[in-house]
Amino acid sequence: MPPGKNRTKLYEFMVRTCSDDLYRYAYRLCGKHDTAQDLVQETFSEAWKSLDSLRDESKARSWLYSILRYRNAHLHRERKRSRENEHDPIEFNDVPDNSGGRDTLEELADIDSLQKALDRLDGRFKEPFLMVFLEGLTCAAAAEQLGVPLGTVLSRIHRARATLREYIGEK
Amino acid sequence: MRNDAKEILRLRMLEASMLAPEDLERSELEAEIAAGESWMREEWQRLLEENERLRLDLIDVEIPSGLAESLLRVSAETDGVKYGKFISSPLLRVAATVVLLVGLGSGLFYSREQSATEKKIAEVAELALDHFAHGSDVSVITLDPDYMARYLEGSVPFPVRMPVVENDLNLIGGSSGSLGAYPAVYTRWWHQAENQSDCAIIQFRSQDFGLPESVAKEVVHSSNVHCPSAKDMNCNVIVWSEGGDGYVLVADSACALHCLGSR
Repeated sequence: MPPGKNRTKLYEFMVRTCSDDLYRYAYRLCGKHDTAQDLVQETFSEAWKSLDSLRDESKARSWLYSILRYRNAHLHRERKRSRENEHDPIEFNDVPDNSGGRDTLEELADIDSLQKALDRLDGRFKEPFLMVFLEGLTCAAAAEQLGVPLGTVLSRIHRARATLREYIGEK
Repeated sequence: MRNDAKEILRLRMLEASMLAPEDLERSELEAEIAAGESWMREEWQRLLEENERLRLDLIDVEIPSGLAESLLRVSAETDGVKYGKFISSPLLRVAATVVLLVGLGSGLFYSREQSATEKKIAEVAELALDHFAHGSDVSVITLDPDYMARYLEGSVPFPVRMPVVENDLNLIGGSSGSLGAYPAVYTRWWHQAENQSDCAIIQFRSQDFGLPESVAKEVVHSSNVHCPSAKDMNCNVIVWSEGGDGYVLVADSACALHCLGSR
Protein backbone atom coordinates (compact mmCIF):
# COMPACT_ATOMS: atom_id res chain seq x y z
CA MET A 1 0.00 0.00 0.00
CA PRO A 2 1.68 3.21 -1.12
CA PRO A 3 1.93 5.70 1.72
CA GLY A 4 0.69 9.26 1.97
CA LYS A 5 -1.21 10.63 -0.97
CA ASN A 6 -2.38 7.31 -2.43
CA ARG A 7 -3.62 6.21 0.94
CA THR A 8 -5.72 9.34 1.26
CA LYS A 9 -7.00 8.94 -2.29
CA LEU A 10 -8.06 5.38 -1.60
CA TYR A 11 -9.82 6.40 1.59
CA GLU A 12 -11.66 9.22 -0.18
CA PHE A 13 -12.70 6.83 -2.92
CA MET A 14 -14.06 4.42 -0.32
CA VAL A 15 -16.03 7.19 1.39
CA ARG A 16 -17.55 8.49 -1.83
CA THR A 17 -18.50 5.08 -3.21
CA CYS A 18 -19.47 3.16 -0.07
CA SER A 19 -20.62 5.53 2.68
CA ASP A 20 -24.27 5.76 1.59
CA ASP A 21 -24.64 2.00 1.19
CA LEU A 22 -22.93 1.40 4.50
CA TYR A 23 -25.25 3.86 6.18
CA ARG A 24 -28.30 2.08 4.78
CA TYR A 25 -26.94 -1.21 6.01
CA ALA A 26 -26.13 0.23 9.44
CA TYR A 27 -29.60 1.70 9.76
CA ARG A 28 -31.27 -1.56 8.82
CA LEU A 29 -29.06 -3.34 11.34
CA CYS A 30 -29.75 -1.10 14.30
CA GLY A 31 -32.95 0.77 13.40
CA LYS A 32 -31.77 4.15 14.65
CA HIS A 33 -30.34 6.98 12.58
CA ASP A 34 -28.00 8.32 15.27
CA THR A 35 -26.63 4.87 16.07
CA ALA A 36 -26.22 4.15 12.37
CA GLN A 37 -24.26 7.35 11.97
CA ASP A 38 -22.00 6.41 14.89
CA LEU A 39 -21.44 2.95 13.44
CA VAL A 40 -20.49 4.31 10.05
CA GLN A 41 -18.21 6.89 11.64
CA GLU A 42 -16.47 4.18 13.69
CA THR A 43 -16.22 1.94 10.65
CA PHE A 44 -14.45 4.50 8.53
CA SER A 45 -12.26 5.55 11.42
CA GLU A 46 -11.18 1.94 11.86
CA ALA A 47 -10.71 1.63 8.12
CA TRP A 48 -8.50 4.70 8.00
CA LYS A 49 -6.33 3.39 10.84
CA SER A 50 -6.10 -0.10 9.35
CA LEU A 51 -5.86 0.83 5.68
CA ASP A 52 -2.37 -0.61 5.42
CA SER A 53 -3.76 -4.05 6.19
CA LEU A 54 -6.00 -3.96 3.11
CA ARG A 55 -3.97 -5.96 0.61
CA ASP A 56 -6.53 -6.12 -2.18
CA GLU A 57 -8.23 -2.84 -2.97
CA SER A 58 -10.94 -4.63 -4.92
CA LYS A 59 -12.10 -6.10 -1.61
CA ALA A 60 -12.39 -2.71 0.09
CA ARG A 61 -16.18 -2.73 0.01
CA SER A 62 -16.59 -6.13 1.65
CA TRP A 63 -13.86 -5.19 4.10
CA LEU A 64 -15.81 -2.12 5.18
CA TYR A 65 -18.96 -4.17 5.66
CA SER A 66 -17.04 -6.64 7.80
CA ILE A 67 -15.75 -3.83 10.00
CA LEU A 68 -19.24 -2.42 10.36
CA ARG A 69 -20.64 -5.79 11.39
CA TYR A 70 -17.90 -6.16 13.94
CA ARG A 71 -18.53 -2.67 15.32
CA ASN A 72 -22.25 -3.40 15.53
CA ALA A 73 -21.63 -6.65 17.37
CA HIS A 74 -19.33 -4.81 19.76
CA LEU A 75 -21.95 -2.12 20.34
CA HIS A 76 -24.60 -4.75 20.90
CA ARG A 77 -22.47 -6.46 23.51
CA GLU A 78 -21.79 -3.16 25.28
CA ARG A 79 -25.48 -2.30 25.39
CA LYS A 80 -26.50 -5.72 26.62
CA ARG A 81 -24.06 -5.31 29.44
CA SER A 82 -25.87 -2.23 30.71
CA ARG A 83 -29.40 -3.29 29.89
CA GLU A 84 -31.49 -4.65 32.78
CA ASN A 85 -34.02 -6.66 30.81
CA GLU A 86 -33.85 -8.19 27.37
CA HIS A 87 -36.99 -8.32 25.34
CA ASP A 88 -37.86 -11.35 23.29
CA PRO A 89 -36.52 -10.63 19.81
CA ILE A 90 -39.57 -12.20 18.24
CA GLU A 91 -42.84 -11.14 19.78
CA PHE A 92 -45.81 -12.20 17.84
CA ASN A 93 -48.27 -11.02 20.51
CA ASP A 94 -47.87 -7.47 19.27
CA VAL A 95 -48.59 -8.26 15.66
CA PRO A 96 -51.44 -5.96 14.68
CA ASP A 97 -54.57 -7.64 13.47
CA ASN A 98 -54.42 -6.81 9.83
CA SER A 99 -57.55 -8.32 8.45
CA GLY A 100 -57.53 -5.91 5.51
CA GLY A 101 -55.88 -8.56 3.37
CA ARG A 102 -53.21 -6.26 1.99
CA ASP A 103 -51.06 -7.76 -0.69
CA THR A 104 -47.56 -8.85 0.35
CA LEU A 105 -45.81 -6.43 -1.98
CA GLU A 106 -47.99 -3.60 -0.76
CA GLU A 107 -47.13 -4.48 2.85
CA LEU A 108 -43.46 -4.61 2.04
CA ALA A 109 -43.76 -1.10 0.62
CA ASP A 110 -44.59 0.17 4.14
CA ILE A 111 -41.06 0.91 5.21
CA ASP A 112 -41.96 1.65 8.84
CA SER A 113 -43.44 -1.80 9.17
CA LEU A 114 -40.40 -3.27 7.53
CA GLN A 115 -37.98 -1.64 9.96
CA LYS A 116 -40.12 -2.55 12.94
CA ALA A 117 -40.16 -6.12 11.76
CA LEU A 118 -36.40 -6.08 11.22
CA ASP A 119 -35.87 -4.68 14.70
CA ARG A 120 -37.61 -7.70 16.12
CA LEU A 121 -35.48 -10.19 14.27
CA ASP A 122 -32.80 -12.06 16.17
CA GLY A 123 -29.34 -11.07 14.95
CA ARG A 124 -28.60 -14.58 13.76
CA PHE A 125 -31.40 -14.28 11.21
CA LYS A 126 -31.16 -10.59 10.43
CA GLU A 127 -27.48 -10.56 9.64
CA PRO A 128 -27.41 -13.10 6.80
CA PHE A 129 -30.70 -11.70 5.52
CA LEU A 130 -29.22 -8.21 5.21
CA MET A 131 -25.94 -9.54 3.86
CA VAL A 132 -27.78 -11.14 0.95
CA PHE A 133 -30.59 -8.68 0.33
CA LEU A 134 -28.88 -5.40 1.14
CA GLU A 135 -25.16 -5.91 0.89
CA GLY A 136 -25.69 -8.01 -2.23
CA LEU A 137 -23.62 -11.01 -1.26
CA THR A 138 -24.44 -14.44 -2.56
CA CYS A 139 -25.56 -16.89 0.09
CA ALA A 140 -22.28 -18.75 -0.33
CA ALA A 141 -20.25 -15.59 0.29
CA ALA A 142 -22.37 -14.75 3.32
CA ALA A 143 -21.81 -18.26 4.68
CA GLU A 144 -18.07 -17.89 4.20
CA GLN A 145 -17.97 -14.54 5.99
CA LEU A 146 -20.08 -15.77 8.86
CA GLY A 147 -18.13 -19.00 9.11
CA VAL A 148 -21.23 -21.18 8.91
CA PRO A 149 -22.41 -23.73 6.34
CA LEU A 150 -24.39 -22.56 3.32
CA GLY A 151 -27.42 -24.53 4.49
CA THR A 152 -27.42 -22.63 7.77
CA VAL A 153 -27.45 -19.31 5.95
CA LEU A 154 -30.30 -20.42 3.72
CA SER A 155 -32.40 -21.63 6.61
CA ARG A 156 -31.77 -18.43 8.60
CA ILE A 157 -32.79 -16.28 5.65
CA HIS A 158 -35.86 -18.40 5.17
CA ARG A 159 -36.69 -17.94 8.84
CA ALA A 160 -36.12 -14.16 8.59
CA ARG A 161 -38.47 -13.85 5.63
CA ALA A 162 -41.12 -15.93 7.34
CA THR A 163 -40.85 -13.80 10.48
CA LEU A 164 -41.05 -10.58 8.49
CA ARG A 165 -44.11 -11.86 6.67
CA GLU A 166 -45.82 -12.85 9.91
CA TYR A 167 -45.16 -9.54 11.56
CA ILE A 168 -46.31 -7.55 8.55
CA GLY A 169 -49.43 -9.71 8.55
CA GLU A 170 -49.15 -11.87 5.49
CA LYS A 171 -49.86 -15.60 6.12
CA MET B 1 -48.14 -33.26 -7.42
CA ARG B 2 -48.66 -34.17 -3.78
CA ASN B 3 -48.79 -31.38 -1.19
CA ASP B 4 -45.62 -32.41 0.61
CA ALA B 5 -43.74 -32.60 -2.68
CA LYS B 6 -45.08 -29.13 -3.52
CA GLU B 7 -43.85 -27.81 -0.20
CA ILE B 8 -40.40 -29.27 -0.73
CA LEU B 9 -40.26 -27.69 -4.16
CA ARG B 10 -41.36 -24.33 -2.76
CA LEU B 11 -38.46 -24.44 -0.30
CA ARG B 12 -36.06 -25.32 -3.10
CA MET B 13 -37.39 -22.39 -5.11
CA LEU B 14 -37.02 -20.07 -2.14
CA GLU B 15 -33.40 -21.10 -1.75
CA ALA B 16 -32.62 -20.95 -5.45
CA SER B 17 -34.19 -17.49 -5.83
CA MET B 18 -31.43 -16.12 -3.59
CA LEU B 19 -28.62 -17.72 -5.55
CA ALA B 20 -26.83 -15.86 -8.28
CA PRO B 21 -28.59 -16.11 -11.69
CA GLU B 22 -25.60 -17.95 -13.16
CA ASP B 23 -25.50 -20.46 -10.33
CA LEU B 24 -25.72 -24.02 -11.64
CA GLU B 25 -28.18 -25.14 -8.99
CA ARG B 26 -30.49 -22.25 -9.84
CA SER B 27 -30.22 -22.86 -13.57
CA GLU B 28 -31.12 -26.51 -13.11
CA LEU B 29 -34.15 -25.62 -11.02
CA GLU B 30 -35.27 -22.99 -13.53
CA ALA B 31 -35.13 -25.62 -16.26
CA GLU B 32 -37.19 -27.91 -14.07
CA ILE B 33 -39.71 -25.12 -13.46
CA ALA B 34 -39.93 -24.25 -17.15
CA ALA B 35 -40.83 -27.85 -17.94
CA GLY B 36 -43.21 -28.19 -15.00
CA GLU B 37 -46.72 -27.14 -14.06
CA SER B 38 -47.96 -23.56 -14.37
CA TRP B 39 -48.16 -22.98 -10.60
CA MET B 40 -44.40 -23.56 -10.41
CA ARG B 41 -43.72 -20.78 -12.90
CA GLU B 42 -46.14 -18.46 -11.09
CA GLU B 43 -44.58 -19.21 -7.71
CA TRP B 44 -41.08 -18.70 -9.07
CA GLN B 45 -42.03 -15.38 -10.64
CA ARG B 46 -43.68 -14.26 -7.40
CA LEU B 47 -40.52 -15.09 -5.45
CA LEU B 48 -38.29 -13.19 -7.83
CA GLU B 49 -40.56 -10.16 -7.74
CA GLU B 50 -40.73 -10.28 -3.96
CA ASN B 51 -36.95 -10.50 -3.70
CA GLU B 52 -36.56 -7.49 -5.96
CA ARG B 53 -39.17 -5.49 -4.07
CA LEU B 54 -37.55 -6.39 -0.78
CA ARG B 55 -34.19 -5.15 -2.05
CA LEU B 56 -35.72 -1.89 -3.22
CA ASP B 57 -37.48 -1.31 0.10
CA LEU B 58 -34.39 -2.10 2.12
CA ILE B 59 -32.34 0.55 0.35
CA ASP B 60 -35.04 3.18 0.83
CA VAL B 61 -33.28 4.92 3.72
CA GLU B 62 -32.72 8.64 4.09
CA ILE B 63 -29.01 9.44 4.11
CA PRO B 64 -28.06 12.24 6.52
CA SER B 65 -26.76 15.29 4.73
CA GLY B 66 -23.03 15.85 5.03
CA LEU B 67 -22.28 12.22 5.85
CA ALA B 68 -19.47 11.86 3.33
CA GLU B 69 -17.96 15.19 4.32
CA SER B 70 -17.89 14.23 8.00
CA LEU B 71 -16.20 10.93 7.13
CA LEU B 72 -13.60 12.66 4.98
CA ARG B 73 -12.61 14.72 8.00
CA VAL B 74 -11.51 11.48 9.69
CA SER B 75 -8.48 11.25 7.45
CA ALA B 76 -7.59 14.86 8.18
CA GLU B 77 -7.51 14.29 11.92
CA THR B 78 -4.37 12.91 13.57
CA ASP B 79 -6.03 10.21 15.58
CA GLY B 80 -9.34 9.58 13.78
CA VAL B 81 -12.62 9.78 15.67
CA LYS B 82 -12.27 11.60 18.95
CA TYR B 83 -13.52 9.10 21.47
CA GLY B 84 -13.88 11.91 23.96
CA LYS B 85 -17.41 12.22 22.63
CA PHE B 86 -18.32 9.20 24.69
CA ILE B 87 -17.45 11.19 27.81
CA SER B 88 -19.01 14.48 26.88
CA SER B 89 -18.62 16.39 30.12
CA PRO B 90 -15.16 17.93 30.76
CA LEU B 91 -15.64 17.27 34.48
CA LEU B 92 -16.29 13.60 33.79
CA ARG B 93 -13.13 13.42 31.69
CA VAL B 94 -11.11 14.82 34.59
CA ALA B 95 -12.79 12.47 37.03
CA ALA B 96 -12.12 9.50 34.76
CA THR B 97 -8.45 10.45 34.53
CA VAL B 98 -8.14 10.76 38.33
CA VAL B 99 -9.79 7.38 38.84
CA LEU B 100 -7.41 5.87 36.32
CA LEU B 101 -4.38 7.28 38.13
CA VAL B 102 -5.58 6.25 41.59
CA GLY B 103 -6.68 2.82 40.45
CA LEU B 104 -3.49 1.89 38.69
CA GLY B 105 -1.21 3.68 41.12
CA SER B 106 1.49 4.22 38.55
CA GLY B 107 2.63 6.76 35.95
CA LEU B 108 -0.06 7.92 33.52
CA PHE B 109 1.83 7.20 30.27
CA TYR B 110 2.89 3.70 31.31
CA SER B 111 -0.73 2.96 32.37
CA ARG B 112 -2.11 4.07 29.02
CA GLU B 113 0.33 1.91 27.02
CA GLN B 114 -0.35 -1.20 29.14
CA SER B 115 -4.12 -0.92 29.02
CA ALA B 116 -4.18 -0.39 25.25
CA THR B 117 -2.54 -3.81 24.67
CA GLU B 118 -4.60 -5.45 27.39
CA LYS B 119 -7.71 -4.06 25.83
CA LYS B 120 -6.75 -5.50 22.45
CA ILE B 121 -6.01 -8.85 24.06
CA ALA B 122 -9.41 -8.84 25.76
CA GLU B 123 -11.03 -8.01 22.42
CA VAL B 124 -9.34 -10.94 20.72
CA ALA B 125 -10.17 -13.24 23.64
CA GLU B 126 -13.83 -12.25 23.49
CA LEU B 127 -14.07 -12.90 19.76
CA ALA B 128 -12.29 -16.23 20.03
CA LEU B 129 -14.45 -17.37 22.93
CA ASP B 130 -17.62 -16.47 21.06
CA HIS B 131 -16.33 -18.33 18.01
CA PHE B 132 -15.48 -21.37 20.14
CA ALA B 133 -18.84 -21.31 21.93
CA HIS B 134 -20.79 -21.34 18.67
CA GLY B 135 -18.63 -24.09 17.24
CA SER B 136 -17.40 -24.12 13.68
CA ASP B 137 -17.10 -26.84 11.11
CA VAL B 138 -13.65 -27.54 9.74
CA SER B 139 -13.20 -27.58 5.98
CA VAL B 140 -10.32 -30.05 6.11
CA ILE B 141 -10.00 -32.99 8.49
CA THR B 142 -6.40 -34.05 9.04
CA LEU B 143 -3.96 -35.01 11.74
CA ASP B 144 -1.08 -33.39 9.86
CA PRO B 145 -0.53 -29.66 10.60
CA ASP B 146 1.76 -29.31 7.55
CA TYR B 147 -0.89 -30.75 5.24
CA MET B 148 -3.48 -28.46 6.72
CA ALA B 149 -1.20 -25.43 6.30
CA ARG B 150 -0.66 -26.32 2.64
CA TYR B 151 -4.41 -26.90 2.14
CA LEU B 152 -5.36 -23.55 3.60
CA GLU B 153 -2.52 -21.58 2.03
CA GLY B 154 -3.96 -18.82 -0.15
CA SER B 155 -7.33 -18.81 1.57
CA VAL B 156 -6.12 -16.09 3.93
CA PRO B 157 -3.82 -13.13 3.13
CA PHE B 158 -0.96 -14.35 5.31
CA PRO B 159 1.20 -17.49 5.57
CA VAL B 160 -0.50 -20.26 7.50
CA ARG B 161 1.85 -21.18 10.35
CA MET B 162 0.73 -23.48 13.11
CA PRO B 163 2.12 -22.79 16.60
CA VAL B 164 4.47 -25.37 18.08
CA VAL B 165 2.51 -27.76 20.26
CA GLU B 166 3.52 -30.70 22.45
CA ASN B 167 2.74 -34.28 21.49
CA ASP B 168 -0.30 -34.57 23.71
CA LEU B 169 -2.27 -32.12 21.57
CA ASN B 170 -3.60 -33.62 18.32
CA LEU B 171 -4.96 -31.77 15.35
CA ILE B 172 -8.48 -32.57 14.16
CA GLY B 173 -8.69 -30.15 11.26
CA GLY B 174 -9.10 -26.54 10.26
CA SER B 175 -10.70 -23.94 8.06
CA SER B 176 -10.22 -20.37 6.96
CA GLY B 177 -12.67 -17.79 8.18
CA SER B 178 -12.67 -14.60 10.14
CA LEU B 179 -12.12 -13.39 13.65
CA GLY B 180 -14.31 -10.37 13.95
CA ALA B 181 -13.74 -8.33 10.81
CA TYR B 182 -10.37 -9.86 9.93
CA PRO B 183 -9.24 -13.04 8.18
CA ALA B 184 -8.16 -15.91 10.37
CA VAL B 185 -7.31 -19.59 10.31
CA TYR B 186 -9.34 -21.73 12.68
CA THR B 187 -8.03 -25.08 13.90
CA ARG B 188 -9.49 -27.68 16.20
CA TRP B 189 -7.44 -29.93 18.50
CA TRP B 190 -8.01 -32.56 21.14
CA HIS B 191 -5.91 -33.49 24.13
CA GLN B 192 -4.70 -37.08 23.98
CA ALA B 193 -4.62 -37.67 27.73
CA GLU B 194 -8.16 -36.35 28.22
CA ASN B 195 -10.55 -37.44 25.51
CA GLN B 196 -13.11 -34.88 26.51
CA SER B 197 -10.70 -31.98 26.26
CA ASP B 198 -11.49 -29.68 23.38
CA CYS B 199 -9.30 -26.91 22.09
CA ALA B 200 -9.25 -24.39 19.27
CA ILE B 201 -6.30 -22.37 18.03
CA ILE B 202 -6.92 -19.41 15.77
CA GLN B 203 -4.19 -17.69 13.77
CA PHE B 204 -4.59 -14.07 12.69
CA ARG B 205 -2.42 -11.07 11.85
CA SER B 206 -1.41 -9.26 15.01
CA GLN B 207 -1.50 -5.91 13.18
CA ASP B 208 -5.20 -6.41 12.35
CA PHE B 209 -6.02 -6.05 16.02
CA GLY B 210 -3.37 -3.46 16.79
CA LEU B 211 -1.24 -5.92 18.73
CA PRO B 212 2.57 -5.71 18.68
CA GLU B 213 4.44 -8.21 16.49
CA SER B 214 5.52 -10.13 19.57
CA VAL B 215 3.42 -10.42 22.68
CA ALA B 216 4.04 -12.85 25.51
CA LYS B 217 1.31 -15.38 26.21
CA GLU B 218 -1.50 -13.80 28.20
CA VAL B 219 -3.98 -16.11 29.91
CA VAL B 220 -7.57 -14.94 30.23
CA HIS B 221 -10.27 -17.00 31.92
CA SER B 222 -13.70 -17.02 30.30
CA SER B 223 -15.24 -15.60 33.47
CA ASN B 224 -13.18 -12.44 32.93
CA VAL B 225 -14.43 -11.93 29.39
CA HIS B 226 -17.87 -10.63 28.55
CA CYS B 227 -19.13 -13.34 26.24
CA PRO B 228 -22.76 -14.35 26.94
CA SER B 229 -22.56 -17.30 24.57
CA ALA B 230 -19.76 -18.80 26.68
CA LYS B 231 -21.00 -17.83 30.14
CA ASP B 232 -21.53 -21.46 31.21
CA MET B 233 -18.24 -22.66 29.81
CA ASN B 234 -15.21 -23.01 32.02
CA CYS B 235 -12.58 -22.09 29.45
CA ASN B 236 -9.14 -20.63 29.36
CA VAL B 237 -8.02 -18.32 26.58
CA ILE B 238 -4.41 -17.56 25.73
CA VAL B 239 -3.49 -14.73 23.38
CA TRP B 240 0.00 -14.16 22.03
CA SER B 241 1.90 -13.18 18.92
CA GLU B 242 5.17 -14.24 17.33
CA GLY B 243 6.77 -12.32 14.47
CA GLY B 244 3.49 -10.69 13.44
CA ASP B 245 1.49 -13.94 13.61
CA GLY B 246 -1.23 -13.62 16.22
CA TYR B 247 -2.62 -16.67 17.97
CA VAL B 248 -5.43 -17.30 20.36
CA LEU B 249 -6.06 -20.64 22.03
CA VAL B 250 -9.36 -21.50 23.64
CA ALA B 251 -9.37 -24.63 25.79
CA ASP B 252 -11.88 -26.23 28.08
CA SER B 253 -9.15 -27.87 30.07
CA ALA B 254 -6.14 -26.57 31.92
CA CYS B 255 -4.07 -29.41 30.44
CA ALA B 256 -4.24 -27.94 26.96
CA LEU B 257 -2.61 -24.75 28.22
CA HIS B 258 0.61 -26.62 28.94
CA CYS B 259 0.84 -28.06 25.45
CA LEU B 260 2.13 -24.92 23.79
CA GLY B 261 5.78 -24.61 22.93
CA SER B 262 7.42 -21.63 21.28
CA ARG B 263 9.02 -21.03 17.86
